[in-house]
Amino acid sequence: MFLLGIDSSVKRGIVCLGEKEDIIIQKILSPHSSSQQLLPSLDILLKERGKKIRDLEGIVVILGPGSFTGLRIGLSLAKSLAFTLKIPLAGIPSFDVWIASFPGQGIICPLLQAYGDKFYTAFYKKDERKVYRKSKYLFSAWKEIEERIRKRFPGRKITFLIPEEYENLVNKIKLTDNYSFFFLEETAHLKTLLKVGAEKIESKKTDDIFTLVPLYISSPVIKKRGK
Amino acid sequence: MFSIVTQNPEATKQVGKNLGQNLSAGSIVALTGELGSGKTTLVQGIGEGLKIKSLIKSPSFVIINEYDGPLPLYHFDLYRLNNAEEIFSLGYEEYFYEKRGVVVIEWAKKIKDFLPEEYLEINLKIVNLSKRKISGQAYGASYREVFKKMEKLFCSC
Repeated sequence: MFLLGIDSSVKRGIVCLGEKEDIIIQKILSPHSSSQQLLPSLDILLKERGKKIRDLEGIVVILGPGSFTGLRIGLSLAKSLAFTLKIPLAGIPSFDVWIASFPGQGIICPLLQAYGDKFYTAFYKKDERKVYRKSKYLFSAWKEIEERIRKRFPGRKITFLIPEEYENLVNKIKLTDNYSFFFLEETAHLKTLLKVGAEKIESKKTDDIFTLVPLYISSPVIKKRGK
Repeated sequence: MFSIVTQNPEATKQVGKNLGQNLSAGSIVALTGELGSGKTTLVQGIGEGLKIKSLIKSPSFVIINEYDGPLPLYHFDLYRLNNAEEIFSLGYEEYFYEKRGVVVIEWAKKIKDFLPEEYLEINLKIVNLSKRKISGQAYGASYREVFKKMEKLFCSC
């Protein structure tokens, strides 16, 4: 199955073409430029492989959390292509992909740098058969995350998943014996994205083009300030 | 507090330019003033001060314009906003809190409750056909510094 994969949730968006989990070709966009580069990049990738847009058999797109505008652009492109080409569309939360590319088990906490010193995160439990999300999606400062760990998972081992490009985040975290870190490599991330997407499409668990929306984590700023 | 009367649009632009030169990544400038009071002219000056090459237009129809430069400028024009909550469909938080560039907001009064704790407020008043009174209020120490620098500049002339 010839697939288009899009992740525009992060600072450097990525587009790729692939067959199941084999990336045929990929392009990493320069930071904060998804809106301008996404569509032209797809065009370049197709041309480089001598493929036509009509050769696409499915689209896999990251739903978020992440960049507000990036997600809008990525999803708009994915949805309009799926609609016009009449091909299946699979939208996937990025943490699902991260956890699928992590080979270990246990309590897992993916950390995605948001804005204003906060993170997008959630808590997961992974055993040999399944992954369970154990909390709602969070938009929290590190202090709040630590507090939550103390309350919900006292004394448990926690594995934090962090994208390679944010490796230095670890320096900001007060380490304990219970914390371990797994750095997600970009290519592995893409491969997993294609794999998870292909599985979803093959098992006919595709998304509705008209109702699929980005995964936005509501921000606490919404509280009105008194005058 | 900062206050100056400008005699013509050129002078208003000059004030903007000086302001632009004193802003930094993450600065937020909230502009108020009626239609034709020179908000966009002031923003053009800010753009000049930030060494932005492209022409700054009123973004009334798109609400947000981004201009690339050594420090990018995010130009909000909320004229078309019907109510403050609509700002949530724009993802404004990333512009306000990511501190990548300078944020300038026209018709900022419309989202007064959603402005951060620290920002620079600038009000433009029409005195006559070409004269404008520009007054500013700094919320937060870093913005008071900006005014101090600007005052020195304008007192000397």
